Amino acid sequence: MDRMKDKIAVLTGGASGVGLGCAKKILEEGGTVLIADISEEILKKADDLKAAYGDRVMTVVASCCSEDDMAMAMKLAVDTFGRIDALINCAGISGRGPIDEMPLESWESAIAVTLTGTFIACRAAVPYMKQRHYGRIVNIASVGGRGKRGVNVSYSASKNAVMGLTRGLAMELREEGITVNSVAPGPLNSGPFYAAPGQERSPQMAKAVERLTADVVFHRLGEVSEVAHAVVYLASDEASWTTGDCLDVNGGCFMQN
Amino acid sequence: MRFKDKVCVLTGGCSDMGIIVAEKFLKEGAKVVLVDISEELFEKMDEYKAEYGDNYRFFLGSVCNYDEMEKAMEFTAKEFGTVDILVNMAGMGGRGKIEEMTLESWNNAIAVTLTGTYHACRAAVPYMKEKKYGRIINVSSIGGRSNRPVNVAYAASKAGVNGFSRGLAIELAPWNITVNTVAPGPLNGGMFTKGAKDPNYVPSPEMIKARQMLESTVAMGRLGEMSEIANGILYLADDEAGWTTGEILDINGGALMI
Repeated sequence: MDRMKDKIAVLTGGASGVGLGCAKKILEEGGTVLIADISEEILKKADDLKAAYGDRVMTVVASCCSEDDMAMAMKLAVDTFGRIDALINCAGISGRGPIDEMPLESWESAIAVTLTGTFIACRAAVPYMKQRHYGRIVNIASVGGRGKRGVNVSYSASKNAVMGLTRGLAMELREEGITVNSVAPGPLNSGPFYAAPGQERSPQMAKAVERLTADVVFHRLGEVSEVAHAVVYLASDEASWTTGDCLDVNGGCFMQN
Repeated sequence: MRFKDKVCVLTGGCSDMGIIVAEKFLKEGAKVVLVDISEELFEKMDEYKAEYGDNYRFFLGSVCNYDEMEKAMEFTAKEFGTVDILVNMAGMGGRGKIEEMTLESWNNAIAVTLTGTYHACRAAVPYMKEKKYGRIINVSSIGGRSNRPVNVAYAASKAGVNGFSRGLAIELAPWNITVNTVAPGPLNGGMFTKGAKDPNYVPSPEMIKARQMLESTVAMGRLGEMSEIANGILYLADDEAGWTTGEILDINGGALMI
């Protein structure tokens, strides 16, 4: 378990859902993580990892919506661990409702966190990566950004734009030794849908999950660890000739790319 | 070890890529059967014999022949107990522009690359269905996926593998079997590595030009290494890739971004 041995990774949105799962997998594979998230309260979810992995885990309150926060977080990673090998952008939020009911504020906050937040975090990390002519950037997109899913427009727009940002940045950094890729998960056993193994969901939740997994060929939600598996692949040295790519991890609900 | 005691069948197992894939699986604890068409090719594994000799076997057989594939899977089950992972690397291109391409050349490419993949999958699937577990990884190519200057037999057979894999992915999902494709971009192999071991080797101007032309299509400005494709194959063969199916994994240095 040393696929990320001696690698330093910074994760935005790193203390919940996919972010926390990625942090865990990177630690299991021998890496070191700086987990950035927006509050001390949320960062408490990383306490178990801190207890298990000690010095290889650090947390910081930092929002990807703030240029200053991201500059501070990247500097903290470099000051503490010496460098940044990988940046994993997991921070994202969604707007709500059909377009005629979606307030501009809801749209704007989704774009600000998911899309512009990814830009801000990349911009803060890239100078450190350029210096060493090495870097791995992995952005969490979504099958909802690929199309044909019942998601709200702020979600589909911001996640699709993350794929566009990924490709543009991949081209820009192609001679800098830095790869930029994304992962597009399908519906996950996470957030409101989370159920521990063997645990029953409420009838209402079970119905929602049934709807979500109707076109998943395995008829189940994905596990966060299955997304983290893809993220580790892209963040490791294994994927050294992969850039601008978007890995689908979606239980087969979308096979069109 | 990521593949401890997993049983893996590799068609085109003694190709340059096959050997590297075999080595990676063996290092991660797997049992491997290399299927290929000539015993001479088996010598390529000599350097691994001392360390891993107990963990791999050869099977002489062609993917063009269904009976031989059935026997290859029987042999694997007899030697190592089952078939967990099937990696299809046997492939062949046609030659020439369409008006110069003989029907024989076209038929060969389809028979090996596309129908061969079908034969191997068909023979392996019963073992996977029985235990409701399987990982199938078919190697296609960026040439089957986009505007590349490859001959039509190659483009058609590789695109066929992509479509075949998606159809099979849906069909086999109820048995917890994933079917995925790896689509490599232009690789540093074959004619480009012929002189690799000869310090006095000087590539011809045509060779240098061909390499430069291919490199210019890749965002990262270099050809890919076989090991980089092998890493993608292992990624998909992993237990943790159990919710990834019908996917085409592009490994092409950014030559194609979709």
